[in-house]
This record gives sequence, C-alpha cells and structure tokens, in this order.
Amino acid sequence: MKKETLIAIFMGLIFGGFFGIFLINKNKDLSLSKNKILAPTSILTQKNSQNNVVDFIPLEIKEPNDYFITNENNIDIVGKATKDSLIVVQTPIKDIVYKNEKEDFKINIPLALGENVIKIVDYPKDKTFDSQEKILRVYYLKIEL
Amino acid sequence: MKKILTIILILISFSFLAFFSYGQTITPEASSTPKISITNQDQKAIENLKEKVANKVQEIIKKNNKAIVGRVTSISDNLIKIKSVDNKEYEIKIDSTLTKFYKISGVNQKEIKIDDIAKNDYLIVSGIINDKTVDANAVFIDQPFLVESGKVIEVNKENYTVKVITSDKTVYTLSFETFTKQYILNIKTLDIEKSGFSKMIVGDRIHFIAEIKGNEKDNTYEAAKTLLIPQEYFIK
Repeated sequence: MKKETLIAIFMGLIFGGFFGIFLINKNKDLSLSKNKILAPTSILTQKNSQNNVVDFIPLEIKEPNDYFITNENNIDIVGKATKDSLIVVQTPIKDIVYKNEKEDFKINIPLALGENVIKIVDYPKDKTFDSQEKILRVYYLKIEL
Repeated sequence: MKKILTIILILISFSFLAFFSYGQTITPEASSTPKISITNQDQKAIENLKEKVANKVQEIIKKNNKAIVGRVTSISDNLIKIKSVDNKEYEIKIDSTLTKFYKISGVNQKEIKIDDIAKNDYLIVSGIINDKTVDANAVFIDQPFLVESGKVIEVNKENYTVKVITSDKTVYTLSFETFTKQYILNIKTLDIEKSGFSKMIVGDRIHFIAEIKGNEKDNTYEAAKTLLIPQEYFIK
C-alpha cells in the first residue's frame, strides 16, 4: 500500500470521527429545543397577574364537611369569600356578623347538642353582586369517635 | 508497514470509544461493618414524622365521621327506616348488643331504649354507612330546626306575622310569639342589638330560625329567633 493511501485513510477516519461527534451533539440540541418546556419570563407573569385581577370570589366553605360529627362543643368554619363582604353565620344558638377583611376566613362557632344547621350568607360589598348562601349540618354528639 | 497501520487503526478506534463512555461513576467501597448513628436531630425528625402520620390518620377518621339524619317511616326490632330531608330512604340496622339509643333535649343527652322511638321521630344516626344502609353505633332522637334567610315581602302588624321570600323563591310565613328572640344589625357598628316587631319593614333582609314540629301548614312557622338586616345597609 502506498504511503499517500495510508495518510488518506488516516485523515478520513479522523474527519469521519469528528463529523460523527458533531452530528450527535447537534441531534441532542435539536431534541432539547423541541421538548423542553420554557418557563415564562417574569415580565409575562406580571402582565398575566395584572390582567387576572378578580374582585368577586364565590363563597367557598373548606371546613367542616356537611353532616360532620364532632364530640366538641365548638367548631371552626373555614372558607373563602369576596374581600370586604359581610358574612352572616346563623346557628340555632348564636348569630355572628363578620366583616371579611381578607379573602380567607376562619370563624369559631359554639355548637348546640345534636343537630346544628348552620347557614352562612355572604353579602358582597359591591351591591351589584347577589348574596351567596351555604348550608352546613354539623352534629355535636357526646360519643367516642 | 501493515503492522503500523493496524496499530494506528486500533488506537483511533479506542480513542472514539472513549467518547461514548460517559455516565460512569465511581462506586464507593462497601464497608465491612455498617455504622448507624442516630443524632438528636434525626430522632426529632422521626418523632415529628410519627406525630404527623398520627395527626393525618386522626384527621381522616374525623373527616369520615358522617351522620345520616331523617324522620322514621317504619320501625321493627332490628331495622329502622328513615327518610332524609332530600327524600332519600335509609335502612338503619340495629345490633341489640352494640347500638345505643339517646334522646337529646336541650343540653342533655339521655339514654333510652329502642321502644322509645316512634314513627315520625327525627333521628341522627352514627355508624358505618354502606350506600343506603347504616350499621348503627348510636341513634339519637333530636328536634330539627329550620334555619333560613330572605327578603321581607309583607308585614302584618295585626296578627304579628311576616312573609319572607328566600333566594330559591320559597315563601315562608313567620309568626312572632312572646318567646321569639328578635335582633337587628346596627349598620354603623355591625353589632347585633335587641329589636322589636315594629322595626320590620318590607324590603329588609331577615335571618330566622324556627322549630320544625312536622305539622306546619302553608309554610307557616313560629319564629324562635330572628336577625334583621335593614335595607339601608344595602343602599349605602
């Protein structure tokens, strides 16, 4: 075999190798750019949050569940309502009127022995919105749970 | 020359293999005697975790505590049928050795017998619920109350009654008795103050509570307690 042929094969192998590595790296970059989820920029997030300003929040009761049994003589009503709305909590033994200064609220109410039908009415500050109501039934029973 | 060429080719091949050998890590040597030492911090973390698990279990048990309530439609030795407020029928299975019966009156809970339960009694049942049947642990006779609110649409000052329309368009007639506790919301301070029948005006919002006796006609109830929210609150 001639010396020139040998050099050509050698050079061919080296260039072939480099070309292969280049192709593998390029392929990786391509697949990343296709599948990677790009996080939104801070400017975008700010814009979105400004656009999604909601004044009205539907009345939501997170705790307790309806038909809940407890052996304690009081319970926390945890929920969410429109800011600055007037919340009226009615129970057979006590009425509570509460100005909801934040969206989330937690109101402790005393319970009567037996069935406690609790009516929660939310009167939004903006009078264009209708009042909202929820009824909960909580049972204070002297039993072991 | 051929030998040199072969050596060069082998060397080049091995050098390319090195590019594909990424991802290897050095495995730490296994020690002959494993040492487990729990520090105070670890102990605290374990105790915290235990407490959290216990609390979570307690929370789940509490959340699954659900009562079934309704009026008695039929009663036998080991089975009571009740109909709930939303007209669902439930079968309450009684275990003569396990199930206990109580009557609630005011702040007292008195133990009774199954024979003391009559048709049309309002029952609260605690036990294991399987769809429409309940394996009762405890059965309570209680007095149901109507808790509602709405707008005053008529005030009758001669017979001390008011008509109220609720958000679901149900019309109730409330009769005010000597035992009726009347309150009004002070719209400036938001305090609840004592009130009288004369302060009631058409258009006001009223929250009311009345005992359900079961023999009411035309949605007429004797009000036990009322809270009036003057319409001025909604105009300001």
